Amino acid sequence: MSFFGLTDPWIIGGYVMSFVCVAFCVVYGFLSGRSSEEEEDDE
Amino acid sequence: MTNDGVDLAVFGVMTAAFVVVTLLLGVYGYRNTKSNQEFLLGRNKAGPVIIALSYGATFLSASAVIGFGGQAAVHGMSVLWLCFLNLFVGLIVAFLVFGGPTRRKGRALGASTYADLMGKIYNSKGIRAFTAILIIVMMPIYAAAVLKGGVNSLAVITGLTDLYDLILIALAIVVAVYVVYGGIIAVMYNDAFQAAIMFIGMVVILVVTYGYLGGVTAGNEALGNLWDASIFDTINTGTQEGFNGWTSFADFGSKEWLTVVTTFLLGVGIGALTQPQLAVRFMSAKNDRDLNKSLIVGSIFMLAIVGSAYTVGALSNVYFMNEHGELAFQYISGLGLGTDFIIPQFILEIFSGISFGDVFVSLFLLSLVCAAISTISALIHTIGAAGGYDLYTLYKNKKGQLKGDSQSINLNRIVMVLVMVLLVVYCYLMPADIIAKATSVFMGLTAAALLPAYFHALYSKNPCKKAAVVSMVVGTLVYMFFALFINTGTSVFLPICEIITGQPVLFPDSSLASTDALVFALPLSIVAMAVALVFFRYKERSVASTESA
Repeated sequence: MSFFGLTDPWIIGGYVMSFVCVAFCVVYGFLSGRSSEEEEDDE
Repeated sequence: MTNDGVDLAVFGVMTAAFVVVTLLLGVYGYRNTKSNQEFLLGRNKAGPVIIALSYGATFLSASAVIGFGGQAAVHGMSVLWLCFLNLFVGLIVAFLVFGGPTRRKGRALGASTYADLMGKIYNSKGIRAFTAILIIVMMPIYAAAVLKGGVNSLAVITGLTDLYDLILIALAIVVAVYVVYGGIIAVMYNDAFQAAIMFIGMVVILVVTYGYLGGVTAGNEALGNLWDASIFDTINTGTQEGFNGWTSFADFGSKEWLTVVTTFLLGVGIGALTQPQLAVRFMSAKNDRDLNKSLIVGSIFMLAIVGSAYTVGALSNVYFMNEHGELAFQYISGLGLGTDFIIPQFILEIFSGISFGDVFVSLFLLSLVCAAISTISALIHTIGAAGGYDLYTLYKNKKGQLKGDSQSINLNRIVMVLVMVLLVVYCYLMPADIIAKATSVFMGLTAAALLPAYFHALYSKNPCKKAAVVSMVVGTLVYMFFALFINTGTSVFLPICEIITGQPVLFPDSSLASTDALVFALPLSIVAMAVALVFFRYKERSVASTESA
């Protein structure tokens, strides 16, 4: 199996996991920002 | 190193514009700093985007770009797992597990620095002093390595090695001016500005590299095809036994595997959790929602910078083989340079002869400067605060001359100037080519010494001061022992073992010599914390039951 010219699953895994982390951060950040149950500012 | 690709006029104009914006942001910080707490923390002064970019730019120094980019050229795409760890541990775990509680406890206790936070949570002047001293002793090594690496690359790439001293001092003065006058607000806004330059620079470099290699798939395949196991017989690849090429992971448990996994991946990845300069970013946030929102920009920024640096680093082997018939490590060694110069040399060569190449090279150089000073500025601010705020407060409290915390902005400023002078002196004393290892040592030591105590401080309703002290002492001592007597990579910093035994480490031929100190020190620090917690809690209950009886 080749993934953009890469064949070692560990190397492919490194890239895939990095993109999964970014996807998680983007989704979590958006959901967190839109949540209606957010805390109020502490000040 | 050739400097044909650097148009000094273009670079000079870009640098002048950069310095003007930097100093203006320093003025902005100065005008918005009304108290010592604003100078140290700048609470509520930055939104999610500024926090994200400031955190990312502080986290990713020139070390990430040229230090670990150079290591990727030698050790290959295995280093991409450090990109994942930077994102998962350095961002997701850091923000979601540590960020919120750090911000809330810091605000509730009125803490302004990391040492202050630890001291107030444990109600311990000793823990505050230990943390501040650890910062003052160890952080300058990391800061000087970053400064030295940035200036070295800049001087060599531009061909201005004769002006090394001038570049070093000019860079130090620019950073000192905006940090000392503008405080954390100037630091954070400058970080964000510098992060934007780094982002553009690294994305352009990635695109141009794959463009040269004929696309992503063609480039990766070309790198994979470079490897032949017999290469070891004829070429010094800079790797160790177990290496399988630049697109394959090393053999499990081999020396190469141990070096990559324990030193580069674990040492730096986990160490990111206990960085005092990063914890302050959490404490600056207005609320948890802002912290969570900053994950969006932070993650994209981090992937672009480290993902590009590590990928380009590995792919540079194909370029150097095509152009010079040598691997990156071979070629750079032949020039009499270390691995920290692989990425700068690659950038210099690949952009020569293409349209606007001089602009892109200047942009990369500026990115390098940004990566270096965004980290240095945060480190100077943190070290200065540890001395001018934490230790001074403790000293005055002890003398009975002050109740509460110091409110002197000027004292912090004086200490920060002294720290900057110290860093410049360190730059002349430190060995060359140590950026990645100095980063690894600082992050490893802080993780071993502080991580269990920091986690316990944030999540325990009744934090145990004595258990924290045991964990800090065990983590520090074990890390220092393994770093100085066992690991060959880190024993170079202070060759005590060589002085005592006549050999650089105690077991030079064993796999222990390739294993990072953190692998032993952190688990032992955690175990020490757990055992001490059980012991002291049991003792407290025994005393309580005796008293009630």
